[in-house]
Amino acid sequence: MPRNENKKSMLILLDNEAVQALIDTGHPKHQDALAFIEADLVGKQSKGAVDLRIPTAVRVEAEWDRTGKSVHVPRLRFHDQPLNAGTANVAAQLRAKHKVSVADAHLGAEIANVAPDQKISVITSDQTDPSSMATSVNRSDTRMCYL
Amino acid sequence: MVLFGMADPELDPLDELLDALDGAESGPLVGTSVKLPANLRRAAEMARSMGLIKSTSEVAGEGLRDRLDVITQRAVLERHYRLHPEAQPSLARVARAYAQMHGHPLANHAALIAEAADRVVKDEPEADARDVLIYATALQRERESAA
Repeated sequence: MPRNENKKSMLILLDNEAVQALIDTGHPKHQDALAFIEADLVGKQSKGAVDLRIPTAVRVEAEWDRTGKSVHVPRLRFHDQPLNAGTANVAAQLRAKHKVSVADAHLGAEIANVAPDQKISVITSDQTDPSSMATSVNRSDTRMCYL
Repeated sequence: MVLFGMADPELDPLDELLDALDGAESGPLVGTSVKLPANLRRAAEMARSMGLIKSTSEVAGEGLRDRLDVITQRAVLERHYRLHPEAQPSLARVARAYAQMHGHPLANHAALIAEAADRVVKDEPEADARDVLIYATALQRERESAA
């Protein structure tokens, strides 16, 4: 059985506020959010092992329809991280336990889904919910990158 | 919010490329002729026979996709900065974002990173985030040893 050569060594997830900052040129943290995209490119050029993903519930909460084309919204390349049956169950548990938004619960479920040997970072400006999600799913080693 | 502004009057070739990349995971497989150095091909065959990769084609496809992701992301950012020059983050901000994402020990030393960025671009105008962090680390050690 081949090893999982597709798996990147680091996964970076964006939360709702990070996505909103990215897609809205008028957002006060638009430039800060773009700095993380620039930093991701630096990492990819040197290490080639970074995977940048947006949980789909986060994209819904941020109201980002990627089929909508506007010259003002940068068409950045992201992989969607969709909910599946397993992550939906974990997200439901997190939402019930912590009373967080569906988007944050999905974020937490995706953190839980990351392989133990894979590093994970979350780009956010929320000092509370993403961190508590990571702790709740026993991934307190998740790096919180604040905008 | 400037979310759904005026649509692009003409379809930019970059948008056509992005559309093609969005569909790159689906569709039929096609054979193609790619010239590879003989030794590289031999190495790939050895890696396959050792079970390290599934197939040369799969790895080559992944590599092409990853490279196109980086190139197009760069092009999208450059187009966005042409329309919104104020959105472009400083080198210091990118370096700090890189430090945050990768758990660099200076991630919370914004002033030191800013100073390093100012100084490093004087010697190396093409410096990137990694250069800034190396310079910042050297600055910090120099100051610690002088203290």
